[in-house]
Amino acid sequence: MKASSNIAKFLAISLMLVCVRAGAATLNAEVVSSKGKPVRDAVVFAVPADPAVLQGIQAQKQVDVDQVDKEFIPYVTAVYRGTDVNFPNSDKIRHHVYSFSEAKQFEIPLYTGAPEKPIHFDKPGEVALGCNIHDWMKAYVFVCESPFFTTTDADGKASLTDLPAGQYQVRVWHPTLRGKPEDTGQKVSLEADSAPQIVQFTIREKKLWKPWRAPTSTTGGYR
Amino acid sequence: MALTKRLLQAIGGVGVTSVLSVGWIGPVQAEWAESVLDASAEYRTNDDVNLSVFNDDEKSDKLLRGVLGFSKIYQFDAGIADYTRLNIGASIELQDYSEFDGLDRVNPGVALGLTHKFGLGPDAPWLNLHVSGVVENVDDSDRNKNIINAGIRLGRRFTPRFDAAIDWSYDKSNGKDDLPVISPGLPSSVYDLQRSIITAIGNYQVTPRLLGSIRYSYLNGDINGECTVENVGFLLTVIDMTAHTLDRTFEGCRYRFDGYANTLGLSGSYALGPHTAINFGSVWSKGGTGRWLYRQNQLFVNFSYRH
Repeated sequence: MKASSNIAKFLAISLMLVCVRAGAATLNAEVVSSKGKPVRDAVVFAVPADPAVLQGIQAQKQVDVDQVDKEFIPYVTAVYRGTDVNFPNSDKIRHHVYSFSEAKQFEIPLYTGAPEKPIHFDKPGEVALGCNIHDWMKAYVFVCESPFFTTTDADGKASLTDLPAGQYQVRVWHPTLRGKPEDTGQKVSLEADSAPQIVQFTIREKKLWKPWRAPTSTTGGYR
Repeated sequence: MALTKRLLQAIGGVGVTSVLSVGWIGPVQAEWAESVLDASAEYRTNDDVNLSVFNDDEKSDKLLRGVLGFSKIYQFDAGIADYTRLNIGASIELQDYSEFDGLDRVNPGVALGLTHKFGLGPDAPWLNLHVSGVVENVDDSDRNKNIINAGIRLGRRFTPRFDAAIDWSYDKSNGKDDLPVISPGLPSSVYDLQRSIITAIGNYQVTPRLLGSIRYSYLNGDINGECTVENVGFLLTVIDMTAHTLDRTFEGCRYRFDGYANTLGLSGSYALGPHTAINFGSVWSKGGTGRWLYRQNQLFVNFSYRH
């Protein structure tokens, strides 16, 4: 009696998992520069043609952008609009985090540990982060208009899994991207339970400089 | 051996001055922010180490130079708050000359700097008031002196690749009082120097790992140099010499006069990582008075660490 009950539970759970995954599709992306080199930390996101797909999908509750050895970790953080981003400071010194970006302007004056409250990112676009004490500290939050996003690894590769079947425009963004993510859009049609589709992006890059950090023979500068 | 003894004395000096410095900060409403350790090892060549205005008297040498520094940066937490920092540092510098051992020295020093940034972001200009003191313990003890320097520096980053600063400082050295007098009526205090220096500095990132720097400075005030006993007699007749004495290290005469010096430095920094770099460069100096000028060229390469 007990054994048959367990078998029934197992079958019910298996059926639920099949139902959840039914209709899901996978998209594999590869991002390279115009010189053919893999682009790390590129945000690949799929915008559904049918906005109804987005209904009911909530943003992640909270995402962390840490500060370690006077650098932001990670360099690029992708979030869905409406996400709260926390900026814990793992250094033993104080940092002063700010952004002037159009998508989000904010300032967290000098602090150690965890700031009082996270920053709410509700407008899609790129948000460049800086520290007012350590000018070389640079990082980015990219606020996606779609919850279907991922970032590329060192080989410039990324996978979007469990995408609902349907039409999408797949776009890419990177701090060095010349132009807008909309310009990179590629239309794809995903069918349920089909083999993963592959999308390749070749992006035109702009030079991105960050203030010098290493010691020099002409000491000085604000730090 | 002499250098080791001098080093031990100097370390004692740094310890005392550090304690005094940290004690000084006590009553100020500032909050501890960070500690910075600086270390560098350098090889340098100098083709006119005695700063002679006579070509025939110029002497060249090579030296190894090491610097170890520690500083604490305090962040003010009231009033001008988040944009003002106080830097208190202590350092020790060693110079070991290849040929003229009399120039070997150990220099303990302390520095105090107050920096205010006028706003938020990397492009905001900043102003720095700085004071420093160095005790030069030289193997040729005639050259021992205390140096104090105070100045003001204004800087700004114009683009992520380019930043510049301009600095004015006043420099005063106090040497020994009992140096041998050669000519009655003319003081022997050749190491007592007072000068003001204006410096302009520009840094430009050539690549993400290579920084190019240019530094120009104009010095106005006391200049000292060395030449043979015969030449100093002639020099007395053509310049307004304010002091002279015997120079044991170069076996000639050391002299002092009021003059000026232009110095141009070009250097590069190759970043090995966020905390380390190889720096290299050249420094050209021309200084003196009228047509009596010394020309000094230096080349250097160093390994620097900052954490």
